[in-house]
Amino acid sequence: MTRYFLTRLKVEGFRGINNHGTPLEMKFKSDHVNSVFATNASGKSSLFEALTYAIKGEIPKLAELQASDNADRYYVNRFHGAGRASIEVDFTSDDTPSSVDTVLVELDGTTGIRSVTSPSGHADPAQLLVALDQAFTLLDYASFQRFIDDTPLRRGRSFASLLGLAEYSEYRQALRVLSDTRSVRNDLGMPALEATASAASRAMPTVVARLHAAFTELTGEQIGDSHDLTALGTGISSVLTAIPLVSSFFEGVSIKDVDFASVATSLESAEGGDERARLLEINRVVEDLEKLVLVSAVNEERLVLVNGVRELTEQLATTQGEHYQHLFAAVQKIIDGGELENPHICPVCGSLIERTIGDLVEEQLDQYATVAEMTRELDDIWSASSSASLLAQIEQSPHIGLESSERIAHAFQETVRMGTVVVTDVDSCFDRLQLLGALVAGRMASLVSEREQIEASLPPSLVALSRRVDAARRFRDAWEEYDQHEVEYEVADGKRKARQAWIDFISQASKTFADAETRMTSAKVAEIGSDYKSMFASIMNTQAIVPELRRPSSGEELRVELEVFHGLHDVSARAVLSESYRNALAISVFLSAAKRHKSSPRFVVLDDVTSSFDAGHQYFLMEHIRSSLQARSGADGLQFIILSHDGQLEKYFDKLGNTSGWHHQRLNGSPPVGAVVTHAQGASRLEDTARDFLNAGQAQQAEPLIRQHLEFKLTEIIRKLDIPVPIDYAMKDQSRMVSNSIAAIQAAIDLHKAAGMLVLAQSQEADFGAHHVTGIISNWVSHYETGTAGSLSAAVLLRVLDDTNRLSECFQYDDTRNGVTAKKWYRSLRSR
Amino acid sequence: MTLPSEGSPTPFEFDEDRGFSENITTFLEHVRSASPEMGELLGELASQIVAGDEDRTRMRTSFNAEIVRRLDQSLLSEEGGAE
Repeated sequence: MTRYFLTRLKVEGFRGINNHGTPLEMKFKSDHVNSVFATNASGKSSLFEALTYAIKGEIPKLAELQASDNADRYYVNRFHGAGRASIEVDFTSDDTPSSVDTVLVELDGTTGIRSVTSPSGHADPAQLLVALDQAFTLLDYASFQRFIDDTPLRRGRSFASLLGLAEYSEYRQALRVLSDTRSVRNDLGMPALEATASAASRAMPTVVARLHAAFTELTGEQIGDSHDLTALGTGISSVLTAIPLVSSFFEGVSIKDVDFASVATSLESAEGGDERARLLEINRVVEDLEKLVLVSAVNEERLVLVNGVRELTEQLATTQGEHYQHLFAAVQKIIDGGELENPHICPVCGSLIERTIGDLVEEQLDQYATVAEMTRELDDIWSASSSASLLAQIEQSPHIGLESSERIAHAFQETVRMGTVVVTDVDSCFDRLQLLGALVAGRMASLVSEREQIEASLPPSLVALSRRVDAARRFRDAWEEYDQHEVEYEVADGKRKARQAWIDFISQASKTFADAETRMTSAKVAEIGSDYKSMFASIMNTQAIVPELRRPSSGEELRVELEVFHGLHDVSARAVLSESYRNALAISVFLSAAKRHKSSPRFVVLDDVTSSFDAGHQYFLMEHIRSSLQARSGADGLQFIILSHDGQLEKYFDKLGNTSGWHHQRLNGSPPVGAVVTHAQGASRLEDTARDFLNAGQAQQAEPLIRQHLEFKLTEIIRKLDIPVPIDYAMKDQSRMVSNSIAAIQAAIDLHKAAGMLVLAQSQEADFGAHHVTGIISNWVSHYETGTAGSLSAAVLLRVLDDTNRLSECFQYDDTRNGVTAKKWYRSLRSR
Repeated sequence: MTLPSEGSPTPFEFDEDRGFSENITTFLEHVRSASPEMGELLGELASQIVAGDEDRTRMRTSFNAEIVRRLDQSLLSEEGGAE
């Protein structure tokens, strides 16, 4: 795979970097450690943000702002004349250094439209940026802090990303979601199918019993184990075909096709009368009522429902009610919308929360989701139950005659559907069903008694025939019902089996994937184990603390423990390590992982990652990068771009700046209004621009450029003559940088003069102290540092510029050795 | 239905030298070899298994709805074929 170094960056109009018409341009060496120093408010953060935006398409700290803060307005520099940002980056291939891909990212401040193009002709520059967006590419202090402070699960997931295994982790999570038993069963409608199949299965024996009874009543024979309903139907037809009075209705006709209404009319006319009609009606009603007799399954169903409702009630108790559900949903919306400023501070009461609000809300909403799924399951069970069917049928049966106000089936169904059902509701419902069952039984007993009386009053032969014909009709009806249940069962059971096979399959597939992912990640963790441990020992210069990353054999969590802590074992890193140690541990892990990464970027940009380190630890880290990690250190070596505002670190950078393998640059500037420049870009451009402004009478616009120019000239003298400065002069108030530098130079001159070692000519010494410095300070510095520079005229500021340029002459001599006169810098204040 | 996994003599492994897409293809082939019909179904819908956290519930419900549709369709085809 082609890997890339980052070799050039050009920025204009982005964040604090205004530079309208004169972009800030920086070059980085692929085989060097690249350091960039800038004092506070000199554009360093904007540089890091420009790279972040180019590669990631957003700046996390802006993306996390509340919607009302209109983060989109703060990408493009608010003072840029064209209101447009451009970030141009060169990426050089590590296998073909002559191959450079230039990617230009532009952002229109008015429309908010981002465009990505490639002036060098790369076929898909946007995709190149995506490939370069790896977890180790752009690191700041927050990256490391998050790593330690995250929950083990989140840390595990972000770590997978760091190892280049984010896609596996995501796929694993997706498969886990797809194989979550409760959800997938509900999504696939399993409870409903099971309930339908079960209801049909339970109903069939009852129907078969009715078939048997009707057949035996008609033929006087027992069916035995026969389930050949067609043969039994044919037998019934044969019996009735043999009876002359009704033979014409049954001869050659399947029992399913017999017109029983015509048979009844025929029997009535054979020996008419109201009693015959009443007898037939009673038979029909009794048959209807027989279907309403409570079956034994009712008691089982009551038990299942009571248990289900108890579980639901227990689950409901883990939630805090409907109002809180709305509250949690609203908070989730706020989090999703990026409006929550601090995930550890309650937005309502402002108290500090150890876990993130996102985690808490997710957990609470999960409880509500479980309640919803249990409710759906319970609703499916009740809907498909015999009890629900019987209750509804009895209540609506014209033979029972209940008023609508006396019916409870619909109301009960609603309480189940809404999830508001409690155990006493279930008990009331089933008690009511038992009562109605008793009513059905009583009504049937009364009708059977009446039927017996009518039959006693009619000729026995006709009564017997009517009963046989009616038995044939009941056989037919039960047969049709049996067929219907059989189809229902087969359809539901077929679907249930196919879907269960899928559930088994996806569960096993998910486990197979998770196991393989765990093994691969664990192997990677083990691979970097020795690296991060030795790096941590090297940075912190200790063997008394040995960190260890632990990942369980199953699961995605990653725990940060201490294998050794001053002789103790298995101690929590988060609990005992100070901030600098935690930071060092995270840096060690990130850089060890980065070193073994095989993906597109072969560069790491570090932005102020050593804020919590003292000078010693900073030195050890930089030495480790220089000696063991940088591109020159081997085939896996990385290009480092280190941004810092730390004055101590600047001395280290400065010292290495001229050595091989280390490329150092400084940023000067006054963002967001003025320009940001590097020393490499020189001061001449600053001066030229400042003069243009002054000649146009625009003193206020020129003022920050003059300050940068003066800073550049003074630090140039300090560097060229190796003049000592106070250890914290770069960190002091930036507005006093000029006078601090002048004071340092003057102090060094005075010291050398007192020791009789000053190499400067008397005129030079006098020019510096009495003329230029006095002129500059009286004319401008004191005004600037007290915030009154704006009152100076353009003419006065032009004089300040002239004085500033002549400053260098005080520290140079004429070298005539080669026959021509050339200005040369003194080597120091005491020698040429 | 079982797939060779943990505890089995040759558990499925990802090959670090291959890219993610290649490994997913191998994984899908592996599960298809153990259960051709279900493996085929997963292979056909595999492109849907990509989502960030916020989309997972939607991804799950639409994925499972498609599974139901295809399983039912498959049953109907079998019945049609049997007639």
